[in-house]
Amino acid sequence: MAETILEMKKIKKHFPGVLALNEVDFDLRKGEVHVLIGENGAGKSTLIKILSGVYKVDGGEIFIDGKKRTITCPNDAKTLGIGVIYQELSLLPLLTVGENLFLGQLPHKPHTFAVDWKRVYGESQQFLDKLGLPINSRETVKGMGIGRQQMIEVVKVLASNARIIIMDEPTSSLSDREIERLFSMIQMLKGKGISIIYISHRLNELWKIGDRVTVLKDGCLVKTIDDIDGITSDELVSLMVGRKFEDSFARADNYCDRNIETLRVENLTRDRVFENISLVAHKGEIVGIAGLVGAGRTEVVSAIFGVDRCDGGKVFVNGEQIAIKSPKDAIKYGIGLVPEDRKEKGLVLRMSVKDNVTLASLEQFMDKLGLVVNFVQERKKVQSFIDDLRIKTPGINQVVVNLSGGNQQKVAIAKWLCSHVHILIMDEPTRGIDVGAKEEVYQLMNELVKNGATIIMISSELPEILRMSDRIYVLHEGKVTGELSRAEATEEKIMHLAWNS
Amino acid sequence: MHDLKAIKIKELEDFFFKKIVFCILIVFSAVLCFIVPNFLSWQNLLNIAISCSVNGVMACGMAFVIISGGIDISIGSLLALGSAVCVGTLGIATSGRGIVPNLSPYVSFPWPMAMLAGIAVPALLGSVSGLFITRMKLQPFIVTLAMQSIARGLTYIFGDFMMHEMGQGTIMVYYHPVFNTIGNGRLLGIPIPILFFLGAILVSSLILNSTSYGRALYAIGGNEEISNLAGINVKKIKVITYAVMGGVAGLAGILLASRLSASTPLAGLNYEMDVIAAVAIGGVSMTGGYGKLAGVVVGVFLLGVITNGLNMANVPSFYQYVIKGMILIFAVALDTYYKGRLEMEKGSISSRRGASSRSN
Repeated sequence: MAETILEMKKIKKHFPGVLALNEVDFDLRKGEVHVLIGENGAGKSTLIKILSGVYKVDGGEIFIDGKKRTITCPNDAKTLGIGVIYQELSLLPLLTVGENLFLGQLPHKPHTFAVDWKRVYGESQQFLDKLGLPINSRETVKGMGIGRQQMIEVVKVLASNARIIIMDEPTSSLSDREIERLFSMIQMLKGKGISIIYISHRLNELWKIGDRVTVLKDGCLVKTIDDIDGITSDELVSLMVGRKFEDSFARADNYCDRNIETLRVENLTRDRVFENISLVAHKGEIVGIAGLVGAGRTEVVSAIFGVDRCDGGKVFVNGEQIAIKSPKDAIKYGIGLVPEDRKEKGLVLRMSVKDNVTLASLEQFMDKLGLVVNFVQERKKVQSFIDDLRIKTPGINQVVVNLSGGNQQKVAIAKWLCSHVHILIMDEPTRGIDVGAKEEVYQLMNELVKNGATIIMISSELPEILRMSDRIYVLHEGKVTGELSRAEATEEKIMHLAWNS
Repeated sequence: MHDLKAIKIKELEDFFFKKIVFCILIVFSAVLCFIVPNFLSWQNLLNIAISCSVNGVMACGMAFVIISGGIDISIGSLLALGSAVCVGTLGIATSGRGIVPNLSPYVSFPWPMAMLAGIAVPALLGSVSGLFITRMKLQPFIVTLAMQSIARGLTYIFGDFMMHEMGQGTIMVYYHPVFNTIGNGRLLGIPIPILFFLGAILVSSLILNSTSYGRALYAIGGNEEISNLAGINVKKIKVITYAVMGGVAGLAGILLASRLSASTPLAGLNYEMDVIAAVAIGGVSMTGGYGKLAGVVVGVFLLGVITNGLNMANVPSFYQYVIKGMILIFAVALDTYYKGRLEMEKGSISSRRGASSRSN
């Protein structure tokens, strides 16, 4: 068995009101990929932030190569050979690959203040070649895809002599081909004796690249599993959430009323983006929109919601033709949009739960003169949403940046429930949130359609589309290539239509 | 027992960190009490409040602008324009050089009308700034920098025009019993400018806390795109905000003109810097989305007390500039440092995000 290079013992971390980590043990062997899983809020991020020196540890010990170490700042972690690749990439887009690699430590020509560019590009190219990456060190980062940028991040960490690399959900924004490339890079790093702590929300990745897995729940260690081939995904999920999902991929209920058409879109066109999009949605129906990334799904719903201008086509709500020129109009007609990127477009992160929930519907809490907000009413309503949607928050005045992804998503949904929309468009409703919270979002969607709402859901995850949708439209390069009913839809059929093959 | 004491000290520390600027104000005032014998006298306190009122009124408007993620550096010029329009349209002004008592020949408004004009004209220019910022998507700093120049120029032109003079940079002097009362009179023993300041504080905090417009300001400053997606008419709200800022600057100009019984084209020069400084000291985020009016009021008073205290202590004005600047940096640095520390303790990531949130 390979030697253990990192050992964390009885790690403890308090935040006001929460015990984020409670005596967690964790160890890492040389040349292994150790996967860390758990729901959001389970303590994964806290654990790696302690290891990378972002947080100070409140209790417990860290051993590296058998020696006790203290890590109090990110620089300590760096000198100990710990490198972190965060979800948000940190490359400077206007600089070249070489400049990014040497950022902050550009070498000078001897006895001058001039940068030794030859050395910068020479050495970075050597590094890239050694890792077998087809990247030119003189290229600027700006035009590169996220996948390649991530590889450069890895190279950057390696260039600082890291032996332990922490990857926080590295595949969340990569395409399938980029993921394959990343995985083969990880394999190569393993071969060089570098150890990797890998955090992921995609369980299937675990068997592809993981050697061992550690499950965290509510700040406690549940189990470290050495033999990952002996465990199924269902078992892992039940370890994570502490309960077993029975048949986690079925939505038996059907609340769809085919006689009442709530939304009809005819020949919606936006030049060079999408053309002749026609859709129908009924009361109590969940309509799935599938397609590859870049097929124009988000653009279509943005146009329906009035964010982007259209060049042609008609939109009907409840049988009446309407003109939507701005999101304000769309909201007036009862349409809501939960956007893809929660942090950039879904919530005002520095505002409280209360202010976010009532952001789109503050008028209904105005006093008789329509001037001043009735705080009592507002608070009551928001509290009722927190209870109904089971939003986990210390209080209605909590700033949403401190909530977990799943709870943020619930706040974003509550915003629209509060403004009484009856057509809810959800763009990737469960991206970046953990398994347990996903289930809750699904349940919530189910309850909404049960109460007569219409949901239009964009999703890149086929199981999600198949499970939740009553009907599915598939888009390919800005055109509808097919419409499938729940009964006829299969993963293969959708993929065929999405690739238009 | 020991624990309880520790907790109390911790609470005290937290209070000190959260209200650091307020504490600096108290400490500074306490020091002045010893150095300057009359500092705590009722008359001196009123003097401080009066001298704060012009900037204070504008700071309330500036808080709106900065919370919504903008900035307005044209307010000094808008103040001058407001006072010139008001005094000029009163119809009784004379040229400041006192050669010919030249009645403003064109208009003669009753005083409430003249005041209204003095507020409406800067408000109109403010809304023009707002239109350029929202429709053309220009930087607020640049647009209001241009407006600063335009409004100052208009002030000179207007004064010359009203006084039948050319290129003189006329100071308009007047005497009007009612109008002078606004700047110099008292109501229930309190100088009227202070009442205007108090009114501005009350109205603004009501707007910020309890109206949908106020909530929209925070939302827009926090994230413009989300506000748009939530059905908030971002452009309209921003234009209104710059218009309100202009109107408030005009009102401040009227207060100043009424106190001095004159309007000079150089009125309000560099006032925007003091006002922005007060808002920043008050803890309003310069990137928008966060801030409380109470902090702004403390910021205004800290600046007022510094100026007054140094004057009373007979510190020469050249030294005053240096001391004032140093205290500003000190106050903001301490505030930022302790806020960062509090956030670190909470383990919140918002401070890291804050650095990158202002992209345009």
